[in-house]
Amino acid sequence: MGRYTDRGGPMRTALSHSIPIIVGITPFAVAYALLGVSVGLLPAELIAMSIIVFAGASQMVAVTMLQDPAVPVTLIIVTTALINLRHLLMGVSMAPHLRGAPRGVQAAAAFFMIDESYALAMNRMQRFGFDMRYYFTCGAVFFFGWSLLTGVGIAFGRLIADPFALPLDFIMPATFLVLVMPFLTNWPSILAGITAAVTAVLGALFLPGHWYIVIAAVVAAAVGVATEGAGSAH
Amino acid sequence: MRTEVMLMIAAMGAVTYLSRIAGFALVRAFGVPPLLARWLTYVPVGILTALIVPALLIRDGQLHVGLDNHYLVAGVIAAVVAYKTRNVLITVGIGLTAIFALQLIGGGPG
Repeated sequence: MGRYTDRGGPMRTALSHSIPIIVGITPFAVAYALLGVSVGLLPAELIAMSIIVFAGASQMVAVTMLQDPAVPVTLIIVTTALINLRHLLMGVSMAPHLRGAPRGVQAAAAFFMIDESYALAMNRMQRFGFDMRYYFTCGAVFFFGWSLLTGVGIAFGRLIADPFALPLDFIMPATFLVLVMPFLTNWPSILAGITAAVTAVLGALFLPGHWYIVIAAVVAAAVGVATEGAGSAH
Repeated sequence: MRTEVMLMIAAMGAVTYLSRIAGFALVRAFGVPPLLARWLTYVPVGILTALIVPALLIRDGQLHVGLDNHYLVAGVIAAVVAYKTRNVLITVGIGLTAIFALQLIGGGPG
């Protein structure tokens, strides 16, 4: 990732930032594909889900819920909506940087907004401003990569080795560790991070579902604003 | 492809896309007052931290702070590597290696 330098222009930089992340996503795609096949979904349906929904966590939860035939489809859809609530907040935080863009570009930007493309784009924005070419290149890599890897997982998953043997739930947190670092350059951000850590852990322990992500971000950002200027007083 | 499965996928896609476009629609409709703009600058830190810390500290639904939590130990190592290198592949690689090493030493999955 080379410390977020910009040799070779925004699109090339986007490729060099997003391709290593899609490598880390590969075992998830294989796990999703194998789980999906095992619950009786057809290859075309699994790939269609990757193209239409394009949300790894929701897709994984959906195929897991399908293991139990008693689970109603409406519950799967409600669960999907709840897992994706954080996108609302991500959208509000990204949208001001695309205010001049046409409606269609904003609509496309929203489609490509996943945790990874959001994190990369907001990261880069700190240094270079919001860059459409960078963002859409990352989005395209993740979108086509995720669909393609779903197909690869269906076709070759059983030959690749057992993806469930990998600590899958460690890979994404470790990836986000790299992406959060550039934000932690001032005291309000560091205090916001600490607040988010505490709030998210408490929320994850005591609240149902994925509410803890949104609640932690809301509280953390308030602490960030409240502590602005506190660092300069010293 | 079966109709009922495709309907489920379409509905999942619709609620997911709604969640993604809603923030853009809100900003279009109401704009961004200065205080909200300041607040929004801290949202990425909040969301990323919330995606990281519970995943490392909570194992099987329980808060697990200690050296026998392999994810936590590997996570701390990964955080140092992330800070030093800013490189995803190196960070994830060393983190995974740490987890496997801890499992070998400590025995059993952590």
